[in-house]
Amino acid sequence: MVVLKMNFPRITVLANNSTGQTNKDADLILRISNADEKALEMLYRHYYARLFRFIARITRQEDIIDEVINEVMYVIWKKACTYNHQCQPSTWIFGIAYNKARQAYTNSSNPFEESLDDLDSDSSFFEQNNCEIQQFETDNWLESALDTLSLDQRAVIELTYFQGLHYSEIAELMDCPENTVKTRMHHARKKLASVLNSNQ
Amino acid sequence: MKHLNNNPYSTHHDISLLLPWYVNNTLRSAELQNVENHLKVCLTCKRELLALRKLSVAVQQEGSFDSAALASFSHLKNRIHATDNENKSTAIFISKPTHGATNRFAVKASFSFALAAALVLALVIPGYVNIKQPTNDFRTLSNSDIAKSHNNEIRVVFANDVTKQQMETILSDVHGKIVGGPTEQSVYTIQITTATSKKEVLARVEKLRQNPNVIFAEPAYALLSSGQTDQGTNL
Repeated sequence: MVVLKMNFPRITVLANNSTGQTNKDADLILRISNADEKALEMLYRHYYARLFRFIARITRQEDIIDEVINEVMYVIWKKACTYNHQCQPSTWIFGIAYNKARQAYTNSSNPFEESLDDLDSDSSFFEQNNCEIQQFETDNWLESALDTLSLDQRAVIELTYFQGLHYSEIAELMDCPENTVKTRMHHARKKLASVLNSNQ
Repeated sequence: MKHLNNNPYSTHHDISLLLPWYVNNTLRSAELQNVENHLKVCLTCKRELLALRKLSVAVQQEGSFDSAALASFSHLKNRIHATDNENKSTAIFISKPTHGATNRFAVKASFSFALAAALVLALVIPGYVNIKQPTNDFRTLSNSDIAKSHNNEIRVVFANDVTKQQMETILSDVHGKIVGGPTEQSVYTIQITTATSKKEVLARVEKLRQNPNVIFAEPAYALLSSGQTDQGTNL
Protein backbone atom coordinates (compact mmCIF):
# COMPACT_ATOMS: atom_id res chain seq x y z
CA MET A 1 0.00 0.00 0.00
CA VAL A 2 1.27 3.45 -0.90
CA VAL A 3 0.75 6.36 1.39
CA LEU A 4 0.87 9.70 -0.32
CA LYS A 5 2.34 12.60 1.52
CA MET A 6 -0.11 15.22 0.45
CA ASN A 7 0.33 18.90 0.93
CA PHE A 8 -3.04 20.54 0.95
CA PRO A 9 -3.82 24.10 -0.02
CA ARG A 10 -3.72 26.56 2.80
CA ILE A 11 -7.32 27.63 2.89
CA THR A 12 -7.96 30.78 4.79
CA VAL A 13 -11.71 30.49 4.55
CA LEU A 14 -13.21 27.13 5.33
CA ALA A 15 -16.52 26.05 3.95
CA ASN A 16 -18.16 29.38 3.42
CA ASN A 17 -21.89 28.92 3.43
CA SER A 18 -22.84 32.49 4.22
CA THR A 19 -25.76 33.84 2.27
CA GLY A 20 -23.61 36.57 0.76
CA GLN A 21 -21.11 34.11 -0.63
CA THR A 22 -23.87 31.80 -1.83
CA ASN A 23 -25.43 34.68 -3.74
CA LYS A 24 -22.08 35.66 -5.21
CA ASP A 25 -21.49 32.09 -6.38
CA ALA A 26 -25.01 31.87 -7.81
CA ASP A 27 -24.42 35.13 -9.69
CA LEU A 28 -21.18 33.81 -11.09
CA ILE A 29 -22.91 30.65 -12.27
CA LEU A 30 -25.60 32.75 -13.93
CA ARG A 31 -22.94 34.80 -15.70
CA ILE A 32 -21.17 31.63 -16.77
CA SER A 33 -24.43 30.39 -18.28
CA ASN A 34 -24.17 33.49 -20.47
CA ALA A 35 -20.69 32.42 -21.58
CA ASP A 36 -18.89 34.94 -19.37
CA GLU A 37 -15.30 33.72 -19.16
CA LYS A 38 -14.36 36.29 -16.56
CA ALA A 39 -16.99 34.84 -14.23
CA LEU A 40 -15.63 31.36 -14.84
CA GLU A 41 -12.16 32.54 -13.92
CA MET A 42 -13.46 34.13 -10.71
CA LEU A 43 -15.29 30.95 -9.75
CA TYR A 44 -12.22 28.92 -10.63
CA ARG A 45 -9.98 30.98 -8.37
CA HIS A 46 -12.52 30.97 -5.59
CA TYR A 47 -12.97 27.20 -5.60
CA TYR A 48 -9.55 26.03 -6.70
CA ALA A 49 -8.07 25.52 -3.24
CA ARG A 50 -11.15 23.85 -1.83
CA LEU A 51 -11.51 21.55 -4.83
CA PHE A 52 -7.82 20.75 -4.76
CA ARG A 53 -8.04 19.70 -1.16
CA PHE A 54 -11.25 17.75 -1.62
CA ILE A 55 -10.02 15.84 -4.66
CA ALA A 56 -6.64 15.20 -3.07
CA ARG A 57 -8.27 13.90 0.07
CA ILE A 58 -10.62 11.49 -1.62
CA THR A 59 -8.48 10.24 -4.52
CA ARG A 60 -5.06 10.24 -2.77
CA GLN A 61 -3.53 10.77 -6.21
CA GLU A 62 -1.77 14.06 -6.58
CA ASP A 63 -1.10 13.67 -10.30
CA ILE A 64 -4.75 13.71 -11.32
CA ILE A 65 -5.95 16.65 -9.21
CA ASP A 66 -5.44 19.48 -11.67
CA GLU A 67 -6.95 17.45 -14.44
CA VAL A 68 -10.02 16.69 -12.35
CA ILE A 69 -10.41 20.34 -11.32
CA ASN A 70 -10.34 21.37 -14.95
CA GLU A 71 -12.89 18.67 -15.77
CA VAL A 72 -15.13 20.01 -13.02
CA MET A 73 -14.84 23.58 -14.23
CA TYR A 74 -15.42 22.51 -17.81
CA VAL A 75 -18.65 20.81 -16.77
CA ILE A 76 -19.66 23.98 -14.92
CA TRP A 77 -18.94 25.98 -18.08
CA LYS A 78 -21.06 23.66 -20.20
CA LYS A 79 -23.87 23.03 -17.73
CA ALA A 80 -24.18 26.30 -15.84
CA CYS A 81 -27.62 26.87 -17.31
CA THR A 82 -28.84 23.64 -15.67
CA TYR A 83 -28.09 24.82 -12.13
CA ASN A 84 -31.56 25.09 -10.64
CA HIS A 85 -30.88 26.74 -7.25
CA GLN A 86 -32.37 23.75 -5.43
CA CYS A 87 -29.12 23.36 -3.52
CA GLN A 88 -26.21 25.61 -2.55
CA PRO A 89 -23.86 26.43 -5.44
CA SER A 90 -21.05 24.83 -3.44
CA THR A 91 -23.05 21.61 -3.05
CA TRP A 92 -23.67 21.55 -6.81
CA ILE A 93 -19.99 22.16 -7.56
CA PHE A 94 -18.74 19.61 -5.06
CA GLY A 95 -21.25 17.11 -6.41
CA ILE A 96 -19.67 17.48 -9.83
CA ALA A 97 -16.22 17.26 -8.26
CA TYR A 98 -17.14 14.08 -6.42
CA ASN A 99 -18.37 12.41 -9.61
CA LYS A 100 -15.37 13.50 -11.65
CA ALA A 101 -12.91 12.48 -8.95
CA ARG A 102 -14.60 9.12 -8.59
CA GLN A 103 -14.46 8.61 -12.35
CA ALA A 104 -10.78 9.55 -12.56
CA TYR A 105 -9.98 7.43 -9.54
CA THR A 106 -11.75 4.37 -10.96
CA ASN A 107 -9.87 4.78 -14.24
CA SER A 108 -6.50 4.94 -12.58
CA SER A 109 -6.70 2.99 -9.38
CA ASN A 110 -6.85 -0.47 -7.87
CA PRO A 111 -10.20 -2.07 -8.48
CA PHE A 112 -10.71 -3.71 -5.10
CA GLU A 113 -10.98 -0.60 -3.05
CA GLU A 114 -14.60 0.12 -3.90
CA SER A 115 -15.65 -2.97 -1.97
CA LEU A 116 -14.20 -1.55 1.23
CA ASP A 117 -17.41 0.30 1.90
CA ASP A 118 -19.01 -2.92 3.02
CA LEU A 119 -16.22 -3.97 5.32
CA ASP A 120 -16.32 -3.31 9.02
CA SER A 121 -13.34 -2.32 11.11
CA ASP A 122 -13.06 -5.78 12.59
CA SER A 123 -12.72 -7.41 9.19
CA SER A 124 -9.64 -9.38 8.38
CA PHE A 125 -8.80 -6.90 5.67
CA PHE A 126 -8.39 -4.05 8.08
CA GLU A 127 -6.46 -6.07 10.63
CA GLN A 128 -4.06 -7.16 7.96
CA ASN A 129 -3.52 -3.63 6.70
CA ASN A 130 -3.40 -2.17 10.16
CA CYS A 131 -0.09 -4.00 10.65
CA GLU A 132 1.26 -2.38 7.52
CA ILE A 133 0.07 1.01 8.63
CA GLN A 134 2.11 0.75 11.80
CA GLN A 135 5.24 0.41 9.72
CA PHE A 136 4.75 3.76 8.02
CA GLU A 137 6.17 7.03 9.01
CA THR A 138 3.27 8.34 10.99
CA ASP A 139 4.10 11.98 11.37
CA ASN A 140 0.68 12.48 9.91
CA TRP A 141 -1.35 9.52 11.13
CA LEU A 142 -4.49 10.73 9.44
CA GLU A 143 -2.91 10.61 6.00
CA SER A 144 -1.96 7.00 6.61
CA ALA A 145 -5.31 6.16 8.09
CA LEU A 146 -7.26 7.67 5.25
CA ASP A 147 -5.64 5.19 2.91
CA THR A 148 -7.49 2.41 4.66
CA LEU A 149 -10.81 3.93 3.67
CA SER A 150 -12.68 3.79 0.41
CA LEU A 151 -13.07 6.88 -1.74
CA ASP A 152 -16.69 7.24 -0.66
CA GLN A 153 -15.80 7.01 3.02
CA ARG A 154 -13.05 9.60 2.62
CA ALA A 155 -15.50 11.86 0.80
CA VAL A 156 -17.98 11.63 3.68
CA ILE A 157 -15.26 12.41 6.24
CA GLU A 158 -14.01 15.40 4.25
CA LEU A 159 -17.45 16.80 3.50
CA THR A 160 -18.49 16.47 7.13
CA TYR A 161 -15.45 17.71 8.98
CA PHE A 162 -13.86 20.07 6.53
CA GLN A 163 -16.72 21.33 4.39
CA GLY A 164 -19.08 21.27 7.35
CA LEU A 165 -22.07 19.77 5.56
CA HIS A 166 -25.11 18.09 7.09
CA TYR A 167 -25.59 14.43 6.16
CA SER A 168 -28.64 15.31 4.03
CA GLU A 169 -26.51 17.70 1.94
CA ILE A 170 -23.84 15.03 1.56
CA ALA A 171 -26.49 12.53 0.46
CA GLU A 172 -27.68 14.99 -2.16
CA LEU A 173 -24.16 15.72 -3.31
CA MET A 174 -23.21 12.03 -3.52
CA ASP A 175 -26.59 11.09 -4.92
CA CYS A 176 -27.25 8.38 -2.36
CA PRO A 177 -29.67 7.79 0.56
CA GLU A 178 -29.00 9.58 3.84
CA ASN A 179 -28.60 6.25 5.63
CA THR A 180 -25.81 5.31 3.25
CA VAL A 181 -23.96 8.47 4.25
CA LYS A 182 -24.38 7.61 7.93
CA THR A 183 -23.23 4.03 7.36
CA ARG A 184 -20.18 5.12 5.38
CA MET A 185 -19.26 7.49 8.18
CA HIS A 186 -19.84 4.79 10.78
CA HIS A 187 -17.47 2.33 9.10
CA ALA A 188 -14.92 5.04 8.44
CA ARG A 189 -14.98 6.16 12.07
CA LYS A 190 -14.32 2.66 13.30
CA LYS A 191 -11.37 2.20 11.02
CA LEU A 192 -9.90 5.59 11.84
CA ALA A 193 -10.41 5.02 15.56
CA SER A 194 -8.33 1.87 15.37
CA VAL A 195 -5.51 3.69 13.63
CA LEU A 196 -5.75 6.62 16.01
CA ASN A 197 -5.58 4.32 19.05
CA SER A 198 -2.64 2.44 17.66
CA ASN A 199 -0.74 5.71 17.27
CA GLN A 200 -1.31 6.99 20.74
CA MET B 1 -34.46 11.92 10.79
CA LYS B 2 -36.62 8.98 11.71
CA HIS B 3 -38.32 8.95 15.08
CA LEU B 4 -36.25 7.27 17.72
CA ASN B 5 -38.07 4.37 19.31
CA ASN B 6 -37.97 3.11 22.89
CA ASN B 7 -35.54 0.26 22.27
CA PRO B 8 -32.39 1.41 24.15
CA TYR B 9 -29.99 -0.28 21.75
CA SER B 10 -31.75 1.08 18.71
CA THR B 11 -31.78 4.57 20.21
CA HIS B 12 -28.10 4.35 21.05
CA HIS B 13 -27.26 3.15 17.56
CA ASP B 14 -29.29 5.90 15.86
CA ILE B 15 -27.82 8.60 18.07
CA SER B 16 -24.34 7.24 17.57
CA LEU B 17 -24.75 7.60 13.80
CA LEU B 18 -25.57 11.28 14.25
CA LEU B 19 -22.55 12.16 16.38
CA PRO B 20 -20.30 13.32 13.50
CA TRP B 21 -22.87 15.95 12.58
CA TYR B 22 -23.23 16.91 16.23
CA VAL B 23 -19.52 17.62 16.13
CA ASN B 24 -19.74 19.77 12.99
CA ASN B 25 -22.74 21.68 14.42
CA THR B 26 -25.12 20.98 11.56
CA LEU B 27 -27.82 18.97 13.34
CA ARG B 28 -31.32 20.40 13.25
CA SER B 29 -33.11 21.22 16.48
CA ALA B 30 -35.01 17.94 16.97
CA GLU B 31 -31.96 15.83 16.21
CA LEU B 32 -29.78 18.05 18.35
CA GLN B 33 -32.13 17.68 21.30
CA ASN B 34 -32.18 13.90 20.97
CA VAL B 35 -28.40 13.68 20.81
CA GLU B 36 -27.89 16.00 23.79
CA ASN B 37 -30.39 14.04 25.89
CA HIS B 38 -28.69 10.78 25.03
CA LEU B 39 -25.22 12.12 25.75
CA LYS B 40 -26.28 12.91 29.29
CA VAL B 41 -26.76 9.23 30.03
CA CYS B 42 -24.52 7.31 27.61
CA LEU B 43 -20.87 6.96 28.50
CA THR B 44 -20.03 5.14 25.27
CA CYS B 45 -21.34 8.00 23.15
CA LYS B 46 -19.50 10.53 25.31
CA ARG B 47 -16.26 8.71 24.64
CA GLU B 48 -17.08 8.45 20.99
CA LEU B 49 -17.75 12.16 20.91
CA LEU B 50 -14.28 12.94 22.25
CA ALA B 51 -12.71 10.74 19.60
CA LEU B 52 -14.76 12.39 16.88
CA ARG B 53 -13.71 15.84 18.02
CA LYS B 54 -10.07 14.75 17.76
CA LEU B 55 -10.73 13.42 14.30
CA SER B 56 -12.44 16.66 13.31
CA VAL B 57 -9.45 18.71 14.42
CA ALA B 58 -7.08 16.38 12.58
CA VAL B 59 -9.08 16.58 9.36
CA GLN B 60 -9.08 20.36 9.49
CA GLN B 61 -5.32 20.55 9.91
CA GLU B 62 -3.62 21.80 6.81
CA GLY B 63 -0.14 21.31 5.53
CA SER B 64 1.92 23.79 3.63
CA PHE B 65 1.04 24.26 0.01
CA ASP B 66 3.09 24.80 -3.03
CA SER B 67 0.76 26.88 -5.13
CA ALA B 68 2.45 26.21 -8.44
CA ALA B 69 -0.72 24.70 -9.85
CA LEU B 70 -2.77 27.86 -9.62
CA ALA B 71 -1.93 28.73 -13.19
CA SER B 72 -3.91 25.86 -14.62
CA PHE B 73 -6.87 28.05 -15.49
CA SER B 74 -5.15 28.83 -18.78
CA HIS B 75 -5.40 25.14 -19.70
CA LEU B 76 -9.12 25.23 -19.12
CA LYS B 77 -9.44 28.39 -21.18
CA ASN B 78 -7.55 26.79 -24.05
CA ARG B 79 -9.84 23.81 -23.89
CA ILE B 80 -12.96 25.98 -24.00
CA HIS B 81 -11.66 27.90 -27.00
CA ALA B 82 -10.56 24.72 -28.74
CA THR B 83 -14.08 23.35 -28.36
CA ASP B 84 -15.55 26.59 -29.70
CA ASN B 85 -13.37 26.39 -32.80
CA GLU B 86 -14.32 22.76 -33.30
CA ASN B 87 -17.97 23.71 -33.12
CA LYS B 88 -17.48 26.43 -35.69
CA SER B 89 -15.71 24.19 -38.18
CA THR B 90 -18.31 21.44 -37.95
CA ALA B 91 -21.05 23.89 -37.44
CA ILE B 92 -24.86 23.36 -37.48
CA PHE B 93 -27.77 23.87 -35.31
CA ILE B 94 -26.48 22.99 -31.90
CA SER B 95 -26.31 25.97 -29.63
CA LYS B 96 -22.77 26.89 -28.60
CA PRO B 97 -21.70 25.00 -25.44
CA THR B 98 -25.02 24.50 -23.75
CA HIS B 99 -25.62 28.00 -22.67
CA GLY B 100 -29.32 28.55 -22.55
CA ALA B 101 -29.19 32.30 -22.82
CA THR B 102 -26.89 32.41 -25.83
CA ASN B 103 -28.37 30.14 -28.41
CA ARG B 104 -25.98 30.30 -31.30
CA PHE B 105 -26.54 28.00 -34.19
CA ALA B 106 -23.90 25.90 -35.70
CA VAL B 107 -24.16 23.29 -38.41
CA LYS B 108 -23.35 19.62 -38.66
CA ALA B 109 -24.60 17.93 -41.79
CA SER B 110 -25.16 14.51 -40.24
CA PHE B 111 -27.64 15.92 -37.75
CA SER B 112 -29.61 17.99 -40.20
CA PHE B 113 -32.72 15.84 -40.05
CA ALA B 114 -32.95 15.76 -36.26
CA LEU B 115 -32.16 19.41 -36.08
CA ALA B 116 -34.75 20.37 -38.61
CA ALA B 117 -37.28 18.46 -36.52
CA ALA B 118 -36.13 20.35 -33.45
CA LEU B 119 -36.61 23.62 -35.27
CA VAL B 120 -40.15 22.69 -36.23
CA LEU B 121 -40.85 22.04 -32.54
CA ALA B 122 -39.18 25.30 -31.57
CA LEU B 123 -41.35 27.18 -34.01
CA VAL B 124 -44.64 25.45 -33.39
CA ILE B 125 -44.65 24.83 -29.63
CA PRO B 126 -43.97 28.42 -28.43
CA GLY B 127 -46.65 29.62 -30.80
CA TYR B 128 -49.00 27.05 -29.43
CA VAL B 129 -48.35 28.20 -25.89
CA ASN B 130 -48.67 31.89 -26.68
CA ILE B 131 -51.63 31.41 -28.93
CA LYS B 132 -53.97 34.35 -29.11
CA GLN B 133 -57.64 33.74 -28.70
CA PRO B 134 -58.98 33.50 -32.23
CA THR B 135 -62.11 35.24 -33.28
CA ASN B 136 -63.60 31.88 -34.12
CA ASP B 137 -62.81 29.04 -31.82
CA PHE B 138 -62.72 26.55 -34.65
CA ARG B 139 -61.57 26.40 -38.23
CA THR B 140 -62.98 24.14 -40.90
CA LEU B 141 -60.86 22.60 -43.58
CA SER B 142 -62.50 24.89 -46.11
CA ASN B 143 -61.47 27.96 -44.16
CA SER B 144 -58.13 28.74 -45.75
CA ASP B 145 -57.83 32.43 -44.93
CA ILE B 146 -54.73 31.95 -42.85
CA ALA B 147 -53.10 29.61 -45.28
CA LYS B 148 -53.72 31.98 -48.15
CA SER B 149 -52.03 34.86 -46.47
CA HIS B 150 -48.89 32.73 -46.04
CA ASN B 151 -49.08 30.83 -49.29
CA ASN B 152 -46.04 32.50 -50.76
CA GLU B 153 -44.00 32.77 -47.60
CA ILE B 154 -41.21 30.46 -46.55
CA ARG B 155 -39.44 30.20 -43.22
CA VAL B 156 -35.70 29.82 -43.69
CA VAL B 157 -32.66 29.35 -41.49
CA PHE B 158 -29.34 30.07 -43.13
CA ALA B 159 -26.07 28.41 -42.18
CA ASN B 160 -24.17 30.09 -39.39
CA ASP B 161 -21.28 31.28 -41.55
CA VAL B 162 -23.28 32.48 -44.56
CA THR B 163 -22.33 35.94 -45.79
CA LYS B 164 -24.76 38.69 -46.71
CA GLN B 165 -23.80 38.36 -50.35
CA GLN B 166 -24.42 34.60 -50.35
CA MET B 167 -27.76 35.24 -48.72
CA GLU B 168 -28.73 37.69 -51.45
CA THR B 169 -27.72 35.21 -54.14
CA ILE B 170 -29.84 32.52 -52.51
CA LEU B 171 -32.81 34.87 -52.37
CA SER B 172 -32.49 36.00 -55.95
CA ASP B 173 -32.29 32.36 -57.10
CA VAL B 174 -35.78 31.76 -55.74
CA HIS B 175 -37.11 35.27 -56.47
CA GLY B 176 -37.59 35.88 -52.80
CA LYS B 177 -37.26 38.84 -50.48
CA ILE B 178 -36.97 38.94 -46.72
CA VAL B 179 -40.16 40.17 -45.10
CA GLY B 180 -39.46 39.11 -41.52
CA GLY B 181 -36.81 37.99 -39.12
CA PRO B 182 -34.35 36.98 -38.05
CA THR B 183 -36.04 35.75 -34.91
CA GLU B 184 -34.20 34.65 -31.79
CA GLN B 185 -33.91 31.28 -33.46
CA SER B 186 -32.36 32.95 -36.57
CA VAL B 187 -35.47 32.24 -38.65
CA TYR B 188 -36.18 34.51 -41.63
CA THR B 189 -39.52 34.85 -43.38
CA ILE B 190 -39.10 35.04 -47.13
CA GLN B 191 -41.81 36.06 -49.54
CA ILE B 192 -41.66 34.60 -53.02
CA THR B 193 -42.66 37.48 -55.21
CA THR B 194 -43.28 35.53 -58.41
CA ALA B 195 -45.02 32.47 -57.00
CA THR B 196 -48.71 32.34 -56.29
CA SER B 197 -49.57 28.66 -56.08
CA LYS B 198 -48.54 26.22 -53.39
CA LYS B 199 -46.90 24.05 -56.01
CA GLU B 200 -44.63 26.86 -57.11
CA VAL B 201 -43.76 27.72 -53.52
CA LEU B 202 -42.93 24.09 -52.78
CA ALA B 203 -40.60 24.05 -55.77
CA ARG B 204 -38.76 27.05 -54.31
CA VAL B 205 -38.63 25.36 -50.92
CA GLU B 206 -37.06 22.34 -52.56
CA LYS B 207 -34.50 24.54 -54.27
CA LEU B 208 -33.65 26.24 -50.99
CA ARG B 209 -33.24 22.89 -49.23
CA GLN B 210 -30.72 21.80 -51.84
CA ASN B 211 -28.55 24.80 -51.11
CA PRO B 212 -25.80 23.88 -48.60
CA ASN B 213 -26.04 27.33 -47.05
CA VAL B 214 -29.64 26.73 -46.05
CA ILE B 215 -30.23 24.66 -42.93
CA PHE B 216 -33.97 24.77 -42.91
CA ALA B 217 -36.72 25.74 -45.30
CA GLU B 218 -40.42 25.15 -44.87
CA PRO B 219 -43.57 26.83 -46.24
CA ALA B 220 -44.92 29.25 -43.66
CA TYR B 221 -48.41 27.78 -43.85
CA ALA B 222 -47.07 24.36 -42.91
CA LEU B 223 -45.83 25.75 -39.61
CA LEU B 224 -49.11 27.31 -38.59
CA SER B 225 -51.82 25.58 -36.67
CA SER B 226 -55.42 26.59 -36.43
CA GLY B 227 -55.96 30.17 -35.30
CA GLN B 228 -52.28 31.11 -35.21
CA THR B 229 -51.00 34.44 -36.33
CA ASP B 230 -47.49 35.64 -36.92
CA GLN B 231 -47.40 37.08 -33.45
CA GLY B 232 -48.68 33.84 -32.06
CA THR B 233 -45.82 31.90 -33.48
CA ASN B 234 -43.26 34.28 -32.12
CA LEU B 235 -41.68 34.53 -35.53
